[in-house]
Amino acid sequence: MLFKSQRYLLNSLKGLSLVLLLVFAASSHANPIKTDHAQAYLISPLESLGTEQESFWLLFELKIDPHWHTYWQNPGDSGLAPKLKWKLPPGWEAGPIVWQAPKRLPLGPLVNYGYEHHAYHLVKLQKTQKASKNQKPNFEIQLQAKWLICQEDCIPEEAQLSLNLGYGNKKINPQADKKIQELLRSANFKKISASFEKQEDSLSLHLNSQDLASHSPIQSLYFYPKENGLIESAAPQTWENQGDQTILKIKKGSLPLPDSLTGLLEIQGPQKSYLSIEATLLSHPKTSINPTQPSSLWMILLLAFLGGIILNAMPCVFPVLSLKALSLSKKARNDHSKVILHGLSYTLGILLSFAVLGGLLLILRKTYPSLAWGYQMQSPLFVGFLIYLFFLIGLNLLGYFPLYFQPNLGNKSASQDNLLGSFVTGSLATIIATPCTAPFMAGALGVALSQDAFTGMMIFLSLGFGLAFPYLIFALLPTLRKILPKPGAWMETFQQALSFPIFLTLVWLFWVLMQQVDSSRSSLVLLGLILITFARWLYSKLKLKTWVARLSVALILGLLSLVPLSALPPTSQNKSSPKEGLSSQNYSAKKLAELLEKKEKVFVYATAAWCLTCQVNEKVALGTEKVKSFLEKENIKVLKADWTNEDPEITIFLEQFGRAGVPLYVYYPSQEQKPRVLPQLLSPKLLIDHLKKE
Amino acid sequence: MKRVFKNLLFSFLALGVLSFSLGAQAQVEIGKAAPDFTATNQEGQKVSLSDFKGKYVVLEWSNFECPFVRKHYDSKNMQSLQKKYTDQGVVWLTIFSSAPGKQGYYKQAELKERKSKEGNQATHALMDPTGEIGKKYGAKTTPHLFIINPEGKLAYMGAIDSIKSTDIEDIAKANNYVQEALDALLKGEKVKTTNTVSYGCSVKYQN
Repeated sequence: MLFKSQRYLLNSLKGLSLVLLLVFAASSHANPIKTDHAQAYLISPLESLGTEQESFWLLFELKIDPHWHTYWQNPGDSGLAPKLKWKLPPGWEAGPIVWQAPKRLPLGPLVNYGYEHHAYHLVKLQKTQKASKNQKPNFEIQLQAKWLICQEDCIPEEAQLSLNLGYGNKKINPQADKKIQELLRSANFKKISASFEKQEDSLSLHLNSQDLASHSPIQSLYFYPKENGLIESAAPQTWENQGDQTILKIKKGSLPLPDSLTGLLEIQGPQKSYLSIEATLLSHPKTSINPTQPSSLWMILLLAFLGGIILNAMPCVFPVLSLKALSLSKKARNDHSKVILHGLSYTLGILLSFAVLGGLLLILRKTYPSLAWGYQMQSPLFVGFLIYLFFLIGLNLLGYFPLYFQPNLGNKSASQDNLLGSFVTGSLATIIATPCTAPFMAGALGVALSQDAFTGMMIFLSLGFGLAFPYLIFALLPTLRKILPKPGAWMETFQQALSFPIFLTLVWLFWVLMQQVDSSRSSLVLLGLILITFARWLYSKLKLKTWVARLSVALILGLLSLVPLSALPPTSQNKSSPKEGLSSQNYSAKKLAELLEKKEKVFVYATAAWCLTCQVNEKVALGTEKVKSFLEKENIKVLKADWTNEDPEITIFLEQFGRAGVPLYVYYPSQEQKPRVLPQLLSPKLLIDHLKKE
Repeated sequence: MKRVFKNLLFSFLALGVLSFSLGAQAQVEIGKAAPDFTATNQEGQKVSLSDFKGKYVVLEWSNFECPFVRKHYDSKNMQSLQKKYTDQGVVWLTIFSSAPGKQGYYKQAELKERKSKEGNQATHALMDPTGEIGKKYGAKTTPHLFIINPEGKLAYMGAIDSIKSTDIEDIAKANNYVQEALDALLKGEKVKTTNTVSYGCSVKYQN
């Protein structure tokens, strides 16, 4: 009996001491805590928070015993990153850990990423709801931290840390504040963007050498990916310079590589420094998910050629070329060989201009990889130049401004033997065709830009050859020329009528310009057009005798009318987009990822003010009530990628789908499913059917 | 031409460095033949992978002192998987690649004793003190699991489940990849997740 009660007493004493111990542990501010192989600290820069405090940083620090280590967010071959669980006053939340640069920790044939001696984990605490005001005079923070600590053998450790801060009057702990500020600075890595390519069992990271220049001479580079399993962490990473790029070769890990790669680049130069890397996969048309993408080069060349032929019928090219063709019917009665020469020099003019334009693009892309076809239209200066050109062509067709290369119908001798004229017409056709190329040629040009220079050039030349082809055929085959209508007075009327599509193109070009620059500068271009007309009128009224006087007056007046062009910037960065009825957010890769993360359905449309097809689609399909209400009903989020001005992020987006131009319409049904590419010409029904399809 | 030559030279150099340094870390791939090996089991008998042609084989890298292995043995998670699938004709091999003197190295008699004490239900516990088998498969952690199909091809490699921790409570919340893969294979279905990143302690290879 006595025995029993004694034991009872003993047990209850034990229980009581346990309760006491627990109470003690909960109420005391257990901080720091010593574990078997580390000491854990929770450090605040504030002893007391002000009532207006919206956020502040905390530091969870591990002082690690010698020879032991803890891990980075990606632990490498083995190990585990620390896990933090917070208990905060209501209305506050903790952000993710902001990490310091890790070290490579070799273990036999394996390599881990982590820290020795000290591991610092910065976490931002943030107020979420303004409504719930902290009524208490204190601010209590509890942290349950779990971490794996290893020498060679591993031990999981944990600590319950708490901090009781004051609340009401802000009071800084200068020492802790200084330490945290320093750590924030050292964890604030400069961000650079890069790209990468997948190879058989490695990946190569393409870095802009400019970004590394300030760290030279570079002894070694090492890339730490944030995600585990993507690379073989123990394999050496080798690098070399290629042109203005530094290429780092890394052995692939066991997991397949995703489309984007983030991580930390360690540069061993005179000092050790780090850059934060965001790399996107370089697109390969072969892996493109665009199902209409032809894969063989011959198919692409054929497509480019057919596209070139179609270009002949575009509103911007047709008037000029039809006149050129009609002039053949007159030449038909002349020497056959001369006609062939004309046809050939015209073809040469086109091919040479395409070679120059394409070559320029291929060269520019070496420096600015985000350039794509249609890049010319992103330059207000080029658009202004086109406005002048189209205006002159229009006037010319109406009968003003007889330019020497124009197939002057009234004056036989002027046009007949002028081979240079044919050549210039060819170049002219190329230049005025450029605004019309994008919608037809997006696929082929996308391929052209992603291939090596030789293949790219072949594609550009096939396109040019297609453009030249109809005229060339007429020039080469006299029997075909017989079907051309007989020349006569009707040709003049026809010529004048053709000026109106040209003027319509002019209106559109001006509208594009207004999207790119402000109204005063675009008005200046109109002023320039009037100046040209005035100059031409003045010139005809002056009736100058000597050719020197005529030439100098023409030059002066001509230059004067070009002055408004000088107000246009060669490149434009200010975002301005065509108005449309669809409520949307601006596209960014991050935004898209966020929405998909939230399990939203997303429709992305890439457009540009200068893209006529895009505008038509937006008018007849995207902007209609039917589509709008459908999108709302289905709760599909709309992202608009406006490519009116150069934007590398959008260029990358286009390249993902093997495109080099707009429009592009992509529907993401969910994160798991593949995105769906819609046709380039849309109607409300077509659009809705595509979005509905399961 | 000069540039082409330079590139070629670079590639060869890089390749040379890679193959030299990774000579030991041959990679196995899903869908490719799993390399054969021979090792001594807890009874001192020689066992080869090729003995089990025509059967599903699970390779489980282990080290009974590692906290991640403890998570799955203390909870009986690993033993019940071993029991469940060996009952269905699957061959289960628990492999120990720790070098002599390191954590997780057991001599044959010790291994036999530990196997029964831990309740390990594997067909064989195998000794790999040189780390040869582990390096052949690129085994990095304990646990690290591989599934080989009756044709001798690799069908799964990676972690045991989806939550990387040493906490027993996480087992119930996690997706067990090995169980999912074996269930699919035994039903003649396609394995959904074939490749994951294993988590755990490092395999204690010879330095």
